[in-house]
Amino acid sequence: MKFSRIKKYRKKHSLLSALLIRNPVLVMGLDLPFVIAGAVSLKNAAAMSIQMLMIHMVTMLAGMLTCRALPYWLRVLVNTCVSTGMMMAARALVVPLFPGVTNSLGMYLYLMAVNGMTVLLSSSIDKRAKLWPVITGALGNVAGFSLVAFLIALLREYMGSGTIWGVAVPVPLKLDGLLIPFFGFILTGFLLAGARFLNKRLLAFVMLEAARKDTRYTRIVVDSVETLEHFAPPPVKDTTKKPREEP
Amino acid sequence: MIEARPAPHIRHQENTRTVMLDAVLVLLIVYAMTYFYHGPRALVLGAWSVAVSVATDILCTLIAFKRPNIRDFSAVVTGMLLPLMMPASIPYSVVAAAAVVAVAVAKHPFGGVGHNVFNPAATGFCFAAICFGSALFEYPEPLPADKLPVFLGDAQVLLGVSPAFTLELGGVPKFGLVDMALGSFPGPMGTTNILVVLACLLYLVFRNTVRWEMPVAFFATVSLFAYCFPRADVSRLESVALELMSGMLLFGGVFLLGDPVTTPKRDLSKVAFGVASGVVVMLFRRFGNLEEGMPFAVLLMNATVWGFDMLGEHVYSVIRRRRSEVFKDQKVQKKA
Repeated sequence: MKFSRIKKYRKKHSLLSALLIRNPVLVMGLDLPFVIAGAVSLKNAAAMSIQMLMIHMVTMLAGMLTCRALPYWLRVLVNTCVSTGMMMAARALVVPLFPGVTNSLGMYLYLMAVNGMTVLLSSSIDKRAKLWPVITGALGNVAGFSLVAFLIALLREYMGSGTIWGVAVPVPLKLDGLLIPFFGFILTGFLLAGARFLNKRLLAFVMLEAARKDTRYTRIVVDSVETLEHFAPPPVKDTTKKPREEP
Repeated sequence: MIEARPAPHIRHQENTRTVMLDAVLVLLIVYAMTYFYHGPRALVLGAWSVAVSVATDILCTLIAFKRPNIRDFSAVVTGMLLPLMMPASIPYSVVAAAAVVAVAVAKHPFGGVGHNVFNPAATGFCFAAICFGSALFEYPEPLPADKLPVFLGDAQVLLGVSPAFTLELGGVPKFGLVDMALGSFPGPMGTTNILVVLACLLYLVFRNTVRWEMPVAFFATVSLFAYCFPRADVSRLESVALELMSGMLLFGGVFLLGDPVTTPKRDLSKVAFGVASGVVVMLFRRFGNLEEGMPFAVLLMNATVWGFDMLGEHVYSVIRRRRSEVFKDQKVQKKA
Protein backbone atom coordinates (compact mmCIF):
# COMPACT_ATOMS: atom_id res chain seq x y z
CA MET A 1 0.00 0.00 0.00
CA LYS A 2 1.35 3.38 -0.99
CA PHE A 3 0.95 6.17 1.46
CA SER A 4 3.10 8.55 -0.56
CA ARG A 5 0.21 10.91 -1.20
CA ILE A 6 -0.63 11.15 2.46
CA LYS A 7 3.01 11.68 3.36
CA LYS A 8 3.20 14.41 0.73
CA TYR A 9 0.05 16.00 2.09
CA ARG A 10 1.37 15.88 5.64
CA LYS A 11 4.70 17.36 4.61
CA LYS A 12 2.94 20.21 2.88
CA HIS A 13 0.74 20.85 5.88
CA SER A 14 3.21 20.48 8.72
CA LEU A 15 1.70 23.41 10.61
CA LEU A 16 -1.79 21.96 10.26
CA SER A 17 -0.38 18.68 11.49
CA ALA A 18 1.07 20.35 14.61
CA LEU A 19 -2.19 22.16 15.22
CA LEU A 20 -4.50 19.19 14.78
CA ILE A 21 -3.01 15.78 14.06
CA ARG A 22 -0.12 15.99 16.51
CA ASN A 23 -1.22 18.80 18.78
CA PRO A 24 0.95 18.51 21.92
CA VAL A 25 -1.90 19.43 24.26
CA LEU A 26 -4.84 17.67 22.67
CA VAL A 27 -3.21 14.56 21.25
CA MET A 28 -0.19 14.06 23.48
CA GLY A 29 -1.70 15.46 26.68
CA LEU A 30 1.33 17.64 27.43
CA ASP A 31 1.07 20.94 29.30
CA LEU A 32 -2.52 20.32 30.29
CA PRO A 33 -2.21 22.08 33.71
CA PHE A 34 -1.31 25.38 32.07
CA VAL A 35 -4.29 25.23 29.75
CA ILE A 36 -6.70 24.04 32.42
CA ALA A 37 -5.71 26.28 35.29
CA GLY A 38 -3.96 29.15 33.55
CA ALA A 39 -6.02 29.82 30.43
CA VAL A 40 -8.81 31.83 32.05
CA SER A 41 -8.20 35.05 30.12
CA LEU A 42 -6.72 36.02 26.78
CA LYS A 43 -3.95 37.99 28.48
CA ASN A 44 -2.94 34.88 30.41
CA ALA A 45 -2.96 32.87 27.20
CA ALA A 46 -0.80 35.47 25.44
CA ALA A 47 1.67 35.59 28.33
CA MET A 48 1.90 31.79 28.44
CA SER A 49 2.35 31.61 24.67
CA ILE A 50 5.20 34.12 24.65
CA GLN A 51 6.85 32.37 27.54
CA MET A 52 6.40 28.99 25.90
CA LEU A 53 7.83 30.27 22.62
CA MET A 54 11.00 31.49 24.28
CA ILE A 55 11.47 28.52 26.60
CA HIS A 56 10.61 25.82 24.09
CA MET A 57 12.58 27.14 21.12
CA VAL A 58 15.81 27.72 23.02
CA THR A 59 15.56 24.49 25.00
CA MET A 60 14.94 22.47 21.85
CA LEU A 61 18.04 23.97 20.27
CA ALA A 62 20.00 23.23 23.43
CA GLY A 63 18.56 19.71 23.39
CA MET A 64 19.81 19.29 19.85
CA LEU A 65 23.32 20.17 20.96
CA THR A 66 23.30 18.10 24.13
CA CYS A 67 21.85 14.97 22.50
CA ARG A 68 25.12 14.39 20.68
CA ALA A 69 27.45 15.04 23.59
CA LEU A 70 25.73 14.01 26.81
CA PRO A 71 24.06 10.88 28.19
CA TYR A 72 20.29 10.92 28.68
CA TRP A 73 20.26 11.56 32.45
CA LEU A 74 22.61 14.51 32.15
CA ARG A 75 20.80 15.79 29.07
CA VAL A 76 17.56 16.11 31.05
CA LEU A 77 19.31 18.09 33.77
CA VAL A 78 21.07 20.44 31.36
CA ASN A 79 17.90 21.02 29.34
CA THR A 80 15.94 21.78 32.49
CA CYS A 81 18.57 24.28 33.56
CA VAL A 82 18.37 25.94 30.15
CA SER A 83 14.58 26.09 30.27
CA THR A 84 14.69 27.56 33.80
CA GLY A 85 17.06 30.25 32.63
CA MET A 86 14.81 31.01 29.70
CA MET A 87 11.82 31.12 32.03
CA MET A 88 13.53 33.87 34.05
CA ALA A 89 14.28 35.82 30.88
CA ALA A 90 10.75 35.33 29.54
CA ARG A 91 9.26 36.40 32.87
CA ALA A 92 11.24 39.62 32.72
CA LEU A 93 9.69 40.28 29.32
CA VAL A 94 6.15 39.13 30.02
CA VAL A 95 5.49 40.80 33.38
CA PRO A 96 5.93 44.41 32.09
CA LEU A 97 3.79 43.53 29.04
CA PHE A 98 0.94 42.05 31.09
CA PRO A 99 1.19 43.55 34.61
CA GLY A 100 -1.60 41.48 36.18
CA VAL A 101 -0.31 38.19 34.93
CA THR A 102 1.79 37.41 38.03
CA ASN A 103 -1.32 37.38 40.19
CA SER A 104 -3.59 35.54 37.79
CA LEU A 105 -1.12 32.87 36.68
CA GLY A 106 0.61 32.52 40.02
CA MET A 107 2.93 29.55 40.25
CA TYR A 108 2.09 28.42 36.72
CA LEU A 109 4.27 31.27 35.49
CA TYR A 110 7.27 29.61 37.12
CA LEU A 111 6.22 26.01 36.52
CA MET A 112 6.65 26.68 32.82
CA ALA A 113 10.37 26.04 33.40
CA VAL A 114 9.60 22.33 33.75
CA ASN A 115 6.67 22.05 31.38
CA GLY A 116 6.18 18.53 30.07
CA MET A 117 6.34 19.41 26.39
CA THR A 118 9.76 21.06 26.60
CA VAL A 119 11.34 18.58 29.00
CA LEU A 120 10.07 15.51 27.15
CA LEU A 121 10.68 16.63 23.58
CA SER A 122 14.05 18.30 24.18
CA SER A 123 15.38 15.18 25.87
CA SER A 124 14.18 12.81 23.18
CA ILE A 125 15.71 14.49 20.13
CA ASP A 126 17.38 12.01 17.84
CA LYS A 127 21.13 12.31 17.28
CA ARG A 128 20.60 12.40 13.51
CA ALA A 129 18.03 15.20 13.71
CA LYS A 130 18.62 18.20 11.47
CA LEU A 131 18.31 21.80 12.53
CA TRP A 132 15.44 22.95 10.31
CA PRO A 133 12.97 20.17 11.16
CA VAL A 134 13.68 20.67 14.88
CA ILE A 135 12.97 24.41 14.58
CA THR A 136 9.78 23.93 12.55
CA GLY A 137 8.65 21.16 14.87
CA ALA A 138 9.22 23.35 17.93
CA LEU A 139 7.37 26.24 16.29
CA GLY A 140 4.50 23.90 15.45
CA ASN A 141 4.35 22.67 19.05
CA VAL A 142 4.21 26.21 20.40
CA ALA A 143 1.55 27.09 17.81
CA GLY A 144 -0.50 24.05 18.85
CA PHE A 145 -0.22 24.95 22.52
CA SER A 146 -1.11 28.59 21.82
CA LEU A 147 -4.11 27.65 19.71
CA VAL A 148 -5.61 25.52 22.47
CA ALA A 149 -4.76 28.07 25.17
CA PHE A 150 -6.30 30.95 23.20
CA LEU A 151 -9.45 29.05 22.26
CA ILE A 152 -10.13 27.95 25.82
CA ALA A 153 -9.17 31.34 27.26
CA LEU A 154 -11.47 33.15 24.83
CA LEU A 155 -14.48 31.05 25.79
CA ARG A 156 -13.76 31.16 29.50
CA GLU A 157 -13.08 34.88 29.60
CA TYR A 158 -16.17 35.74 27.55
CA MET A 159 -18.59 33.41 29.29
CA GLY A 160 -17.01 33.44 32.75
CA SER A 161 -15.89 37.03 33.23
CA GLY A 162 -17.94 38.84 30.58
CA THR A 163 -14.82 40.46 29.09
CA ILE A 164 -12.58 40.03 26.05
CA TRP A 165 -8.94 41.08 26.56
CA GLY A 166 -10.05 42.83 29.73
CA VAL A 167 -12.75 44.90 28.00
CA ALA A 168 -16.29 44.38 29.26
CA VAL A 169 -18.65 43.04 26.61
CA PRO A 170 -22.34 42.17 26.85
CA VAL A 171 -22.81 38.49 27.61
CA PRO A 172 -26.21 36.76 27.69
CA LEU A 173 -25.45 34.63 30.76
CA LYS A 174 -22.36 34.98 32.92
CA LEU A 175 -21.13 31.55 34.05
CA ASP A 176 -18.53 31.97 36.81
CA GLY A 177 -18.14 28.22 36.99
CA LEU A 178 -16.24 28.16 33.71
CA LEU A 179 -13.25 29.75 35.46
CA ILE A 180 -12.68 26.80 37.79
CA PRO A 181 -10.18 24.15 36.66
CA PHE A 182 -12.86 21.46 36.46
CA PHE A 183 -14.47 23.17 33.51
CA GLY A 184 -11.04 23.71 32.01
CA PHE A 185 -10.83 19.93 31.88
CA ILE A 186 -14.30 19.68 30.36
CA LEU A 187 -13.57 22.30 27.69
CA THR A 188 -10.26 20.65 26.82
CA GLY A 189 -12.11 17.37 26.49
CA PHE A 190 -14.61 18.92 24.07
CA LEU A 191 -11.76 20.48 22.10
CA LEU A 192 -10.03 17.11 21.97
CA ALA A 193 -13.20 15.49 20.66
CA GLY A 194 -13.45 18.22 18.02
CA ALA A 195 -9.81 17.72 17.00
CA ARG A 196 -10.31 13.95 16.70
CA PHE A 197 -13.38 14.49 14.57
CA LEU A 198 -11.50 16.89 12.29
CA ASN A 199 -8.56 14.49 12.07
CA LYS A 200 -10.84 11.67 10.98
CA ARG A 201 -12.54 13.82 8.37
CA LEU A 202 -9.20 15.13 7.11
CA LEU A 203 -7.80 11.64 6.78
CA ALA A 204 -10.95 10.43 5.06
CA PHE A 205 -10.68 13.31 2.62
CA VAL A 206 -7.05 12.54 1.87
CA MET A 207 -7.75 8.86 1.36
CA LEU A 208 -10.69 9.66 -0.89
CA GLU A 209 -8.53 11.92 -3.01
CA ALA A 210 -5.87 9.23 -3.21
CA ALA A 211 -8.45 6.66 -4.23
CA ARG A 212 -9.92 8.93 -6.89
CA LYS A 213 -6.58 9.73 -8.48
CA ASP A 214 -5.25 6.23 -8.38
CA THR A 215 -7.53 3.81 -10.18
CA ARG A 216 -6.12 0.88 -8.26
CA TYR A 217 -7.81 2.09 -5.10
CA THR A 218 -11.16 3.13 -6.52
CA ARG A 219 -12.86 0.24 -4.82
CA ILE A 220 -11.95 1.54 -1.39
CA VAL A 221 -14.96 3.11 0.21
CA VAL A 222 -13.69 5.98 2.32
CA ASP A 223 -16.83 6.65 4.23
CA SER A 224 -15.84 6.31 7.83
CA VAL A 225 -12.09 6.08 7.99
CA GLU A 226 -10.74 5.49 11.45
CA THR A 227 -7.08 4.68 11.08
CA LEU A 228 -4.59 4.08 8.34
CA GLU A 229 -4.41 0.43 9.40
CA HIS A 230 -7.97 0.18 8.18
CA PHE A 231 -6.59 0.17 4.65
CA ALA A 232 -3.55 -1.94 5.26
CA PRO A 233 -3.42 -5.12 3.15
CA PRO A 234 -4.28 -8.34 4.97
CA PRO A 235 -1.25 -10.20 6.34
CA VAL A 236 0.10 -12.84 3.97
CA LYS A 237 -0.35 -16.32 5.32
CA ASP A 238 2.79 -18.31 5.86
CA THR A 239 2.17 -21.36 3.68
CA THR A 240 5.57 -22.95 4.06
CA LYS A 241 5.47 -26.08 6.11
CA LYS A 242 7.51 -26.01 9.24
CA PRO A 243 9.49 -29.09 10.15
CA ARG A 244 8.00 -31.04 13.00
CA GLU A 245 9.76 -30.71 16.26
CA GLU A 246 10.91 -33.98 17.60
CA PRO A 247 9.73 -34.82 21.09
CA MET B 1 -40.71 -21.06 11.31
CA ILE B 2 -37.38 -20.04 12.87
CA GLU B 3 -36.70 -16.32 12.86
CA ALA B 4 -33.12 -15.11 13.20
CA ARG B 5 -32.69 -12.03 15.36
CA PRO B 6 -29.67 -10.32 16.92
CA ALA B 7 -28.99 -10.61 20.66
CA PRO B 8 -30.21 -10.04 23.37
CA HIS B 9 -32.61 -12.99 23.11
CA ILE B 10 -33.81 -12.99 26.70
CA ARG B 11 -35.56 -9.78 27.50
CA HIS B 12 -36.59 -8.61 30.94
CA GLN B 13 -39.93 -6.97 31.44
CA GLU B 14 -38.17 -3.88 32.73
CA ASN B 15 -36.12 -1.77 30.38
CA THR B 16 -34.77 1.76 30.33
CA ARG B 17 -38.09 3.10 29.16
CA THR B 18 -40.19 1.50 31.91
CA VAL B 19 -37.70 2.56 34.60
CA MET B 20 -37.71 6.14 33.31
CA LEU B 21 -41.49 6.14 32.99
CA ASP B 22 -41.76 5.12 36.64
CA ALA B 23 -39.53 8.06 37.55
CA VAL B 24 -41.57 10.41 35.35
CA LEU B 25 -44.77 9.24 37.00
CA VAL B 26 -43.58 9.90 40.55
CA LEU B 27 -42.01 13.20 39.55
CA LEU B 28 -45.35 14.31 38.12
CA ILE B 29 -46.86 13.78 41.56
CA VAL B 30 -44.10 15.90 43.11
CA TYR B 31 -44.82 18.57 40.50
CA ALA B 32 -48.48 18.51 41.50
CA MET B 33 -47.42 19.36 45.06
CA THR B 34 -45.09 22.13 43.88
CA TYR B 35 -48.03 23.57 41.92
CA PHE B 36 -50.02 23.57 45.14
CA TYR B 37 -47.27 25.40 47.06
CA HIS B 38 -45.81 27.71 44.41
CA GLY B 39 -48.37 28.05 41.64
CA PRO B 40 -48.07 27.63 37.87
CA ARG B 41 -44.50 28.93 37.72
CA ALA B 42 -43.28 25.60 39.09
CA LEU B 43 -44.92 23.72 36.23
CA VAL B 44 -43.59 26.16 33.61
CA LEU B 45 -40.08 25.79 35.04
CA GLY B 46 -40.41 22.03 34.76
CA ALA B 47 -41.68 22.17 31.19
CA TRP B 48 -38.92 24.61 30.18
CA SER B 49 -36.23 22.42 31.74
CA VAL B 50 -37.58 19.30 30.01
CA ALA B 51 -37.71 21.11 26.67
CA VAL B 52 -34.09 22.31 26.98
CA SER B 53 -32.89 18.87 28.14
CA VAL B 54 -34.61 17.04 25.31
CA ALA B 55 -33.40 19.57 22.71
CA THR B 56 -29.81 19.27 24.00
CA ASP B 57 -30.12 15.49 24.05
CA ILE B 58 -31.26 15.42 20.42
CA LEU B 59 -28.53 17.83 19.37
CA CYS B 60 -25.79 15.83 21.12
CA THR B 61 -27.08 12.59 19.59
CA LEU B 62 -27.08 14.13 16.12
CA ILE B 63 -23.53 15.45 16.63
CA ALA B 64 -22.46 11.90 17.46
CA PHE B 65 -24.07 10.71 14.18
CA LYS B 66 -26.63 8.60 16.01
CA ARG B 67 -30.35 8.43 15.67
CA PRO B 68 -32.11 10.42 18.43
CA ASN B 69 -34.29 8.34 20.71
CA ILE B 70 -36.40 10.46 23.02
CA ARG B 71 -38.61 7.49 23.82
CA ASP B 72 -36.22 6.34 26.54
CA PHE B 73 -37.31 9.43 28.57
CA SER B 74 -33.88 9.82 30.20
CA ALA B 75 -33.60 13.45 29.16
CA VAL B 76 -37.14 14.05 30.39
CA VAL B 77 -36.27 12.68 33.84
CA THR B 78 -33.13 14.85 34.01
CA GLY B 79 -35.14 17.87 32.92
CA MET B 80 -37.84 17.18 35.50
CA LEU B 81 -35.39 16.65 38.35
CA LEU B 82 -33.41 19.85 37.90
CA PRO B 83 -36.01 22.54 38.77
CA LEU B 84 -37.22 20.47 41.71
CA MET B 85 -33.83 20.99 43.37
CA MET B 86 -34.02 24.76 42.86
CA PRO B 87 -36.19 27.50 44.36
CA ALA B 88 -39.43 28.38 42.60
CA SER B 89 -38.12 31.90 41.95
CA ILE B 90 -35.09 30.71 39.95
CA PRO B 91 -34.62 32.48 36.58
CA TYR B 92 -35.33 30.40 33.48
CA SER B 93 -31.82 31.03 32.14
CA VAL B 94 -30.26 29.29 35.16
CA VAL B 95 -32.44 26.23 34.66
CA ALA B 96 -31.55 26.17 30.96
CA ALA B 97 -27.81 26.41 31.66
CA ALA B 98 -28.03 23.62 34.24
CA ALA B 99 -30.01 21.42 31.84
CA VAL B 100 -27.51 21.96 29.02
CA VAL B 101 -24.58 21.10 31.30
CA ALA B 102 -26.41 18.06 32.69
CA VAL B 103 -27.01 16.55 29.26
CA ALA B 104 -24.06 17.85 27.23
CA VAL B 105 -21.35 17.49 29.89
CA ALA B 106 -22.44 14.74 32.27
CA LYS B 107 -24.32 12.42 29.94
CA HIS B 108 -23.25 12.38 26.31
CA PRO B 109 -19.44 12.64 26.55
CA PHE B 110 -19.52 9.39 28.54
CA GLY B 111 -21.58 7.51 25.96
CA GLY B 112 -25.18 8.55 26.59
CA VAL B 113 -27.94 6.66 28.37
CA GLY B 114 -26.69 3.94 30.68
CA HIS B 115 -23.03 4.92 30.44
CA ASN B 116 -22.82 8.18 32.35
CA VAL B 117 -20.45 8.05 35.33
CA PHE B 118 -21.95 11.03 37.12
CA ASN B 119 -25.59 11.74 37.77
CA PRO B 120 -26.61 14.35 35.15
CA ALA B 121 -29.10 16.16 37.36
CA ALA B 122 -26.59 16.42 40.23
CA THR B 123 -23.95 17.72 37.81
CA GLY B 124 -26.33 20.34 36.44
CA PHE B 125 -27.25 21.46 39.94
CA CYS B 126 -23.61 21.69 41.05
CA PHE B 127 -22.75 23.76 38.00
CA ALA B 128 -25.64 26.11 38.76
CA ALA B 129 -24.62 26.26 42.43
CA ILE B 130 -21.08 27.31 41.47
CA CYS B 131 -22.20 29.85 38.86
CA PHE B 132 -25.39 31.27 40.40
CA GLY B 133 -25.03 30.52 44.10
CA SER B 134 -26.93 33.58 45.25
CA ALA B 135 -30.00 32.91 43.10
CA LEU B 136 -30.01 29.21 43.88
CA PHE B 137 -30.24 29.49 47.65
CA GLU B 138 -32.91 32.20 47.96
CA TYR B 139 -36.12 30.37 48.67
CA PRO B 140 -39.56 31.94 48.40
CA GLU B 141 -42.13 31.25 51.11
CA PRO B 142 -44.58 28.50 50.16
CA LEU B 143 -48.29 29.24 49.88
CA PRO B 144 -47.89 33.02 49.46
CA ALA B 145 -50.94 35.25 49.37
CA ASP B 146 -50.20 35.98 45.71
CA LYS B 147 -48.85 33.02 43.77
CA LEU B 148 -45.55 33.56 41.99
CA PRO B 149 -46.08 35.02 38.51
CA VAL B 150 -44.85 32.90 35.60
CA PHE B 151 -42.51 35.68 34.54
CA LEU B 152 -41.10 37.39 37.61
CA GLY B 153 -39.88 40.63 36.02
CA ASP B 154 -39.86 43.26 38.76
CA ALA B 155 -42.27 41.36 40.97
CA GLN B 156 -41.33 41.20 44.63
CA VAL B 157 -40.92 37.73 46.12
CA LEU B 158 -41.22 37.02 49.83
CA LEU B 159 -38.12 35.04 50.76
CA GLY B 160 -37.68 32.79 53.77
CA VAL B 161 -34.87 31.04 55.58
CA SER B 162 -34.63 27.33 54.91
CA PRO B 163 -34.15 24.85 57.78
CA ALA B 164 -30.97 23.60 56.09
CA PHE B 165 -29.45 27.08 56.32
CA THR B 166 -30.49 27.44 59.96
CA LEU B 167 -28.91 24.08 60.77
CA GLU B 168 -25.78 25.12 58.88
CA LEU B 169 -25.47 28.08 61.24
CA GLY B 170 -26.04 25.85 64.26
CA GLY B 171 -29.54 27.21 64.96
CA VAL B 172 -32.86 25.47 65.46
CA PRO B 173 -35.40 25.77 62.60
CA LYS B 174 -38.58 27.53 63.64
CA PHE B 175 -40.84 25.12 61.78
CA GLY B 176 -42.72 22.31 63.50
CA LEU B 177 -42.06 18.74 62.43
CA VAL B 178 -45.61 18.37 61.08
CA ASP B 179 -45.19 21.48 58.92
CA MET B 180 -41.91 20.11 57.67
CA ALA B 181 -43.40 16.71 56.91
CA LEU B 182 -46.15 18.42 54.90
CA GLY B 183 -43.62 20.59 53.07
CA SER B 184 -44.82 23.97 54.26
CA PHE B 185 -41.43 25.61 54.64
CA PRO B 186 -38.99 27.46 52.35
CA GLY B 187 -36.58 25.31 50.39
CA PRO B 188 -35.94 23.79 46.98
CA MET B 189 -39.41 23.48 45.52
CA GLY B 190 -39.55 19.71 45.04
CA THR B 191 -37.56 18.57 48.01
CA THR B 192 -39.72 20.01 50.75
CA ASN B 193 -42.61 17.63 50.12
CA ILE B 194 -41.32 15.03 52.54
CA LEU B 195 -44.35 12.74 52.68
CA VAL B 196 -44.77 12.78 48.91
CA VAL B 197 -41.10 11.95 48.36
CA LEU B 198 -41.38 9.08 50.86
CA ALA B 199 -44.44 7.79 49.01
CA CYS B 200 -42.45 8.02 45.77
CA LEU B 201 -39.66 5.99 47.35
CA LEU B 202 -42.11 3.29 48.40
CA TYR B 203 -43.60 3.16 44.91
CA LEU B 204 -40.17 2.93 43.26
CA VAL B 205 -39.06 0.20 45.68
CA PHE B 206 -42.23 -1.83 45.09
CA ARG B 207 -41.79 -1.42 41.34
CA ASN B 208 -38.18 -2.59 41.77
CA THR B 209 -36.96 0.55 40.01
CA VAL B 210 -34.92 1.38 43.12
CA ARG B 211 -33.49 -1.47 45.20
CA TRP B 212 -34.36 -1.14 48.89
CA GLU B 213 -30.83 -1.91 50.16
CA MET B 214 -29.25 1.40 49.25
CA PRO B 215 -31.89 3.88 50.53
CA VAL B 216 -32.22 1.91 53.76
CA ALA B 217 -28.45 1.84 54.32
CA PHE B 218 -28.16 5.52 53.38
CA PHE B 219 -30.96 6.81 55.61
CA ALA B 220 -29.88 4.56 58.49
CA THR B 221 -26.34 5.92 58.32
CA VAL B 222 -27.54 9.51 58.10
CA SER B 223 -29.88 8.95 61.06
CA LEU B 224 -27.12 7.36 63.12
CA PHE B 225 -24.77 10.21 62.31
CA ALA B 226 -27.39 12.82 63.20
CA TYR B 227 -28.21 10.93 66.42
CA CYS B 228 -24.56 10.77 67.49
CA PHE B 229 -23.53 14.26 66.37
CA PRO B 230 -26.49 16.69 66.48
CA ARG B 231 -25.79 20.03 64.83
CA ALA B 232 -28.48 21.99 66.67
CA ASP B 233 -29.30 22.33 70.34
CA VAL B 234 -32.20 19.87 70.26
CA SER B 235 -32.82 16.32 71.44
CA ARG B 236 -31.08 13.56 69.50
CA LEU B 237 -34.30 12.23 67.96
CA GLU B 238 -35.31 15.72 66.90
CA SER B 239 -31.88 16.13 65.36
CA VAL B 240 -32.46 12.99 63.30
CA ALA B 241 -35.85 14.26 62.12
CA LEU B 242 -34.49 17.71 61.27
CA GLU B 243 -31.54 16.32 59.33
CA LEU B 244 -33.74 13.97 57.33
CA MET B 245 -36.35 16.58 56.49
CA SER B 246 -34.17 19.60 55.81
CA GLY B 247 -32.54 20.38 52.50
CA MET B 248 -32.56 17.85 49.72
CA LEU B 249 -31.31 14.87 51.69
CA LEU B 250 -34.47 12.80 51.30
CA PHE B 251 -35.02 13.85 47.69
CA GLY B 252 -31.39 13.17 46.82
CA GLY B 253 -31.45 9.82 48.57
CA VAL B 254 -34.41 8.74 46.46
CA PHE B 255 -33.81 10.32 43.06
CA LEU B 256 -30.07 11.06 42.84
CA LEU B 257 -28.55 8.15 44.72
CA GLY B 258 -31.29 5.82 43.47
CA ASP B 259 -30.24 6.30 39.84
CA PRO B 260 -29.55 2.72 38.67
CA VAL B 261 -26.85 3.83 36.20
CA THR B 262 -24.60 5.57 38.71
CA THR B 263 -24.88 3.05 41.55
CA PRO B 264 -23.18 -0.31 42.16
CA LYS B 265 -24.76 -3.43 40.72
CA ARG B 266 -24.53 -5.98 43.54
CA ASP B 267 -26.73 -5.86 46.64
CA LEU B 268 -23.79 -5.97 49.03
CA SER B 269 -22.06 -3.17 47.11
CA LYS B 270 -25.27 -1.16 47.27
CA VAL B 271 -25.35 -1.44 51.05
CA ALA B 272 -21.69 -0.40 51.35
CA PHE B 273 -22.30 2.43 48.88
CA GLY B 274 -25.33 3.62 50.86
CA VAL B 275 -23.38 3.66 54.11
CA ALA B 276 -20.42 5.49 52.56
CA SER B 277 -22.74 7.99 50.87
CA GLY B 278 -24.47 8.68 54.17
CA VAL B 279 -21.17 9.41 55.88
CA VAL B 280 -19.95 11.64 53.04
CA VAL B 281 -23.24 13.57 52.88
CA MET B 282 -23.18 14.22 56.61
CA LEU B 283 -19.54 15.30 56.46
CA PHE B 284 -20.43 17.72 53.67
CA ARG B 285 -23.28 19.05 55.78
CA ARG B 286 -21.14 19.40 58.86
CA PHE B 287 -17.99 20.86 57.35
CA GLY B 288 -19.11 22.18 53.94
CA ASN B 289 -19.73 25.83 53.13
CA LEU B 290 -22.90 25.33 51.11
CA GLU B 291 -26.20 24.54 52.78
CA GLU B 292 -26.92 21.91 50.11
CA GLY B 293 -23.97 19.53 50.02
CA MET B 294 -26.02 16.55 48.87
CA PRO B 295 -25.47 16.85 45.08
CA PHE B 296 -21.73 17.42 45.58
CA ALA B 297 -21.55 14.35 47.80
CA VAL B 298 -23.48 12.38 45.17
CA LEU B 299 -20.97 13.35 42.48
CA LEU B 300 -18.08 12.41 44.75
CA MET B 301 -19.64 9.03 45.47
CA ASN B 302 -20.46 8.46 41.78
CA ALA B 303 -16.74 8.55 41.10
CA THR B 304 -16.19 5.66 43.53
CA VAL B 305 -18.85 3.29 42.21
CA TRP B 306 -16.30 1.14 40.37
CA GLY B 307 -14.51 0.52 43.68
CA PHE B 308 -17.72 -0.68 45.35
CA ASP B 309 -18.46 -2.88 42.33
CA MET B 310 -14.99 -4.44 42.55
CA LEU B 311 -15.38 -4.94 46.29
CA GLY B 312 -18.75 -6.63 45.79
CA GLU B 313 -17.42 -8.91 43.07
CA HIS B 314 -14.43 -9.85 45.23
CA VAL B 315 -16.61 -10.72 48.22
CA TYR B 316 -19.01 -12.77 46.10
CA SER B 317 -16.14 -14.62 44.42
CA VAL B 318 -14.70 -15.52 47.83
CA ILE B 319 -18.12 -16.75 48.97
CA ARG B 320 -18.53 -18.82 45.78
CA ARG B 321 -15.08 -20.33 46.16
CA ARG B 322 -15.71 -21.34 49.77
CA ARG B 323 -19.08 -22.79 48.90
CA SER B 324 -17.56 -24.88 46.14
CA GLU B 325 -14.82 -26.08 48.52
CA VAL B 326 -17.44 -27.07 51.12
CA PHE B 327 -19.45 -28.85 48.42
CA LYS B 328 -16.36 -30.75 47.30
CA ASP B 329 -15.55 -31.75 50.89
CA GLN B 330 -19.10 -33.03 51.35
CA LYS B 331 -18.79 -35.10 48.19
CA VAL B 332 -15.50 -36.58 49.33
CA GLN B 333 -16.97 -37.41 52.73
CA LYS B 334 -19.98 -39.09 51.11
CA LYS B 335 -17.70 -41.17 48.90
CA ALA B 336 -15.61 -42.14 51.91
